[in-house]
Amino acid sequence: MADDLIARLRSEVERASAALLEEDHWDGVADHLAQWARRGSVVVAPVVAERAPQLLEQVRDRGLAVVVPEGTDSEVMAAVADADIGVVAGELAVAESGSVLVAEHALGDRVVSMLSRRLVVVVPREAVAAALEDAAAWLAAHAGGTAWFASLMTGPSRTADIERSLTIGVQGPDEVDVVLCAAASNAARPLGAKGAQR
Amino acid sequence: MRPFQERYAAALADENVRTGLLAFQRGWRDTRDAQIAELEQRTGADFDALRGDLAARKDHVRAHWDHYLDAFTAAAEAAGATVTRVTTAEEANAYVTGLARARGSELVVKGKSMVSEEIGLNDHLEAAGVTPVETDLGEWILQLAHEHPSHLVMPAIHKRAEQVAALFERVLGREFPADDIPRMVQVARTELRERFLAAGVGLSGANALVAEGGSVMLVCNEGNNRMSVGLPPLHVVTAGADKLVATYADAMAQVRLLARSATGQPITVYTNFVTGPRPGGEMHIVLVDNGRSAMAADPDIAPALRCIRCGACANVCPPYQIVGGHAFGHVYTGAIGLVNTAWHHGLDAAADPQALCVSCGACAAVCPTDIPLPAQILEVRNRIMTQRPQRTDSRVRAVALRAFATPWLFAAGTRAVATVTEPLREDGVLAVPARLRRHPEVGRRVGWRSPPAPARRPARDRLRPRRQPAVPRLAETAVTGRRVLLFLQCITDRFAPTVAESTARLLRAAGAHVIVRRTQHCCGLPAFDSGQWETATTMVRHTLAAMEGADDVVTPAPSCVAMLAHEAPRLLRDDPDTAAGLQQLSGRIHDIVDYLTGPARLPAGSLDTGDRTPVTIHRFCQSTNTLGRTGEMEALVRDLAGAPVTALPEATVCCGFGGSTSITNPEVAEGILDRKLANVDRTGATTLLTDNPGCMLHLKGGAHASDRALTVQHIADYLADRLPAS
Repeated sequence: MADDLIARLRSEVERASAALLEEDHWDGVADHLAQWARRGSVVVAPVVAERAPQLLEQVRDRGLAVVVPEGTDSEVMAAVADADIGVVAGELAVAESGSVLVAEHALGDRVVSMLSRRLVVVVPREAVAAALEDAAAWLAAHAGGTAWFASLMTGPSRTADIERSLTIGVQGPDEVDVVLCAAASNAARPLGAKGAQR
Repeated sequence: MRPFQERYAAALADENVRTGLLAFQRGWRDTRDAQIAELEQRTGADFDALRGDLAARKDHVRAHWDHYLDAFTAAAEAAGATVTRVTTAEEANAYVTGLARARGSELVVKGKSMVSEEIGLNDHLEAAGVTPVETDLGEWILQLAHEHPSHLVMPAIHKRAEQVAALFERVLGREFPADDIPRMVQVARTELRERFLAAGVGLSGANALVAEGGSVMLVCNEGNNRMSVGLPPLHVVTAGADKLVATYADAMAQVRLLARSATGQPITVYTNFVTGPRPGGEMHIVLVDNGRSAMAADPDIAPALRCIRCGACANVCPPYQIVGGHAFGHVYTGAIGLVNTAWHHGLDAAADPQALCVSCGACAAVCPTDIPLPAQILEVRNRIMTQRPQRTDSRVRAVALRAFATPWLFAAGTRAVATVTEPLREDGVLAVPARLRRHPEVGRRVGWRSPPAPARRPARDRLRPRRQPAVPRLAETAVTGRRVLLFLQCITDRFAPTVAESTARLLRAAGAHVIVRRTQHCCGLPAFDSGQWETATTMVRHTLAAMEGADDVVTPAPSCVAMLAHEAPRLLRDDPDTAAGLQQLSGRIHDIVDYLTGPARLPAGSLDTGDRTPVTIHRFCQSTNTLGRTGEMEALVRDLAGAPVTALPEATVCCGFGGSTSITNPEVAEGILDRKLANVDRTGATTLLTDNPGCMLHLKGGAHASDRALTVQHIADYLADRLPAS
């Protein structure tokens, strides 16, 4: 990965009031989560639980409970309603805009990024792309025939609706950390298939 | 919606509207310009190229609309969505309401959707016993206040924090300090979150419909939109087919310009692609026509369907700053609202706010899809005049312009007024006595701007060949010996004749042979601007006949150049011979600034009298937005006269003279003039120059009425005053 691409990504992520961290191994990610979690638990999106069971182990090793929102709609929503920290998987980070592309078809995946106070997006280190067109190509490659839900997320939720006064953290997260992790990988999978089975 | 006059009066009565919007427009301009400049630098493409690219992508889809509609429908349905096309707002409302009731949902959470505003969906849902809750903070505030959005992107931009705090206290029964905006935002989060989790239906609009994969693209900053569509089991989209794009790459081209144009951000916090329902859920996409097919079939209007609802046209609009979107527009606000309202809500709904537009062209300059908004607004005005001739406004305009278009009547009228008002004449304006100004109707019209005084001797009489002042030729220029027809311009001729004389002297200093024909009258702009295109066409033909045989045509009024070069071809579509004549001539029609900058360039320092009094410069809005002028006047003053120029803040913003606004809606023109003169005050300069006689008279009248120690001059007068004596 070209360092200048990551430098550019960092600059844009920070401009969007988020933070960029780099970790080689899952234990580094787990250390951060342990440091940030205030209520003794971390909510982890089902797709992360599936892709990176090591992370869940490492988090538990640090004395934290891991909540994976699954089950009925109301069980899923209840699991995350008060979450102070949630972890989701980023498919791609876009240097041009400091965005991360998160695919979250199942309700259990999407509630994590929507309802957590602090959102941690783990992106494989090799999945840093230069431009929005790369995100478009990714979407085009994954589209077709199935239902899916994917979002480019760029920094924390914000509003300026009252007197143009910028306020961070409205409906969604008020802190966002993008973690580039060398150990993470995005196993190829159809976008919506996982959720469709659920 | 309340009648226009009520909305207009309410907007004027609320001081928060103009102060809030002035701060917003200034802040937006700075951040948007910085973002666009950065994008230009990074991509190596200028704004015109970037928006041209996006416009071409949208136009391509419109040219193959059925194909892409079918492709989108097939892809969305393959992903499990149901796509329904409806013709009218009523059908759309019935469909959505029926869905909510059939699923037994009593609570609907809504992301921001202009189409739902367009069709009045909330009222229908409520009538059916379904409670819609707006979840965008601004929309939620307005819903609590029982108001409609006043801006496409910043719906509650007209509300101050104190008003929001008072509203929350009343509705929520708790105290809210007016200076604690984070607390107000926080309570919205708490209040709305319960609704997100309880709602059975989530409603949204669409920022784009991606045919390639059947995705609905939704952008938002708060996260409310994605929660509205992502959490409830039923997601219903209401959108127009104008939101279709072919590919995800096209969607990204839109993303790249949308937030920069809307809020001055590089990208919104969330750009969501929703394809089909969530597991166990349903998704319905309702494509609402409501006039869009008719727009698409009308080649003069179809480009309005490129609109990506960024609101930039409102963010630069001077009259919008004074009255806000409740008056400037209908459901759709800003310049685009003056156009598309005619198709979505009818010609009558579109008619009332038309006169607020000053035709400055600022909207077109920033539109990220390059919609020719000023031309389209004039198209709509023309249709109002021809299809609604019985409207009082239409009748008054018809009579006034018929009189104006008759040269002898205009001449006799201005001479008569000149004679009667002679005692009130003061430096080119009429000093209206204080006791008269105290009368509300008089004060409303002239209390803030002393009206221009008609001249007893018009320019055409002063410039008869034997009365031309002898001016030494300063240099051989490219125009030396050329027969240059001086097109006086109607206003200059009758109200500012010295400007015409100065223009003639400058032309003679450059060696031109100046011709002044008495057959000339008006280029047709006032009639064109009022929608009276038949009258305007006659005046254009008359003007072109009066210009025959000249090597070049020069006028002190760039407004006439803009009219003849940019607008007149539209009027001559059915008259190819005259159009061909105009085309031959149009490259040779210049305003005096353009002429002195180009072929009639005088030697540097040739008008330097040693006077180093700083001047500031207001450029006619269309000189910037239509003719593409930048620093020509500044260069002339510095290079020829050697005087320093102090930059005028917001120099390119209209002065308030444009269109018929200063006559029909004087409060708006007054507000715009106040903004301009306050900017002049900030420069500390005591001399204000401008290139257009209309602006000159308007600014001079404003300076006079406010007792400002400010000399306002047309640049031709300023430069000609520095010509050496013969």
